[in-house]
Amino acid sequence: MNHLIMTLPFIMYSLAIVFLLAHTDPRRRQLSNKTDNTTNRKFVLSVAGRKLLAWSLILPFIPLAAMANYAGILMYAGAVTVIGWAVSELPTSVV
Amino acid sequence: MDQNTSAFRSKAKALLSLHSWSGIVLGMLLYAVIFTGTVAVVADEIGEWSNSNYPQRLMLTSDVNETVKRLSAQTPKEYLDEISAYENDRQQLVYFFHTHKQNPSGDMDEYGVQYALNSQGEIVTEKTGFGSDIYAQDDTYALSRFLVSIHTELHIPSPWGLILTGILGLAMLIASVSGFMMHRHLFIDMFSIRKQRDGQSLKRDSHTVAGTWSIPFAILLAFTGSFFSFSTAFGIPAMGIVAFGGDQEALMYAMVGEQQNKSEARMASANLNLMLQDAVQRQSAAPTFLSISHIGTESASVLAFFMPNEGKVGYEQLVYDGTNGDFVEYKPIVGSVPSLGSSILSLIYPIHFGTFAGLWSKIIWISLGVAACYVTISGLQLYAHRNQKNESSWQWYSRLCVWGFFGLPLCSLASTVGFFVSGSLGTNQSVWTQLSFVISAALISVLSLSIKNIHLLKKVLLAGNGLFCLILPMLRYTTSGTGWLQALQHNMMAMMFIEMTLLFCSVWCFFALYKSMQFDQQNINQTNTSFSTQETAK
Repeated sequence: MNHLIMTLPFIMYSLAIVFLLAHTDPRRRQLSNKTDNTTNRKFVLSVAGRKLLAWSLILPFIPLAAMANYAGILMYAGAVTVIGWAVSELPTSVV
Repeated sequence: MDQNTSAFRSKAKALLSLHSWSGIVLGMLLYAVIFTGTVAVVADEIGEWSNSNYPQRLMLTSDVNETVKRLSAQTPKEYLDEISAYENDRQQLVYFFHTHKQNPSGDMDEYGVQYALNSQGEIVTEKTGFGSDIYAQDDTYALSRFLVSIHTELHIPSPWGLILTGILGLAMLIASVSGFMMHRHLFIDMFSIRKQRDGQSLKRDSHTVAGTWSIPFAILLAFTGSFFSFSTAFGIPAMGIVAFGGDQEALMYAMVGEQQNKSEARMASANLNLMLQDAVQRQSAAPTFLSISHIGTESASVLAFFMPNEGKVGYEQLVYDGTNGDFVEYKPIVGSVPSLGSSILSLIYPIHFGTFAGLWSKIIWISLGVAACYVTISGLQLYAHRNQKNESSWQWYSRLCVWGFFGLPLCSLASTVGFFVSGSLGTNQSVWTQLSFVISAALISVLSLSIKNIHLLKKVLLAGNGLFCLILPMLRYTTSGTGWLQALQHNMMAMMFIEMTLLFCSVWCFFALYKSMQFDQQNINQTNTSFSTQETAK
């Protein structure tokens, strides 16, 4: 059970990062502005900043591997893909 | 430059054709395999839920040593070669005393006597026959077995079902890889879903986004699935012919990692309970099953099988010397010495079914299955929608999509109703689970042909799914008398998980129905407004 609890913070971390990436996604913003002019997003990230954020999704693999939590690695990888899809499907009024 | 562009375009066109045709030709069957695969992830939980079972860890609480001695005394000697023991989903400990021989189909099988004992150690049932036959007729697993069998073989006779699911896995692999290769702006469009004029998401974007995110696991699951199908249908028989000259028994001994000729000299066996206790201490978990070989002889051995534990992904098999009770080794899944092949093989099943970290990993794997279902559905709908616009004769394809996408879950739910009703009537649950599926499939087919309006058909099937999801927890409660309070008291997590999932699906179905009706109403209002504006202008 411990190794499952150890994976949960990393999954929450990935949720926050993916949420941030979606929120600052220029293409998503461009499309949302086309259909909804009321959307006002002040929070903007540079391309380099977004790249860094995206790469940081790999960071949790290091502690998980160090703890020999291989089940956690698989769970984290699966969770990131599911979270990514779920966040993308959210309406632009939410993200 | 122009040449490069045209070469790239023709390559992209070829990839698009490959992607489309692999999806169109096998898409509906692929959806059936993916949907039932998603259900198969929780096959064990479905088994426990359908029997309102709470695991009692009978292997740890009962006297296995004494029971084996008692049953061995009343079992014919030829079946003492091997004894399998496991706890079933009806709070019974099952002991299968067997030997190995060819079944009527020509495959090596287990043959012997199976006893099911209750928690007091009394024999509830006693069956003699081939292991595959006994398992196929066991009502305990009627529902989970039926649903898993759709996933693995589509209920087509062996080996054709396995070959077909193997081909479907390859089709999924082709569609995933070609989809990945042909999309030029894969990372740029990862979060972008355009809206149509009516406010609904553009199908193409939904398909691309879901596909992009699930590509790594789509490839992984397609590969492991194909491996399972082809290794069982081709790989193992081919290996038997090539390496063992068709001697299936020799092949099985080599794979399991046992000596073919063992000493049958009589010798007292050590206490099984002590070996079991040691294994539990080493793994900090209860074994899934025990395999006791050549009991009462010089070659007696005991194997305890454990599900992945403490962050590991592969299974663990602990072997004990049956004569003195000493721990011998952590046995590889294949062969007698650790190898890369055995390690990889031990990972394939947990990775494919997500069974490596209990319910948590299963929830994630179900979500991956839902994503894969969504990609298949949106891809086929996209094709149906495009052709529907061009040719009216393609209407049948849209109808086929609705029939398949909404019909298959409804048939699965109907088979569950059949399982419960037949169980309460005391009839054969294995037969009625299958019959209920077939009857509901026939009814849905008639309904799909008779309702001309596709939107109405979709709503009817959606309502049916929502209603069945709502009814099933009540039906289970009525037939078993085990309520949620009791389930919480006994920590019946599997049962609670399935009930919550069913209720969630029911809410989702009715919400989708409500949204669809709201959308229709909006369309009617818009049409009426534009009509009255035109009238006023006149």
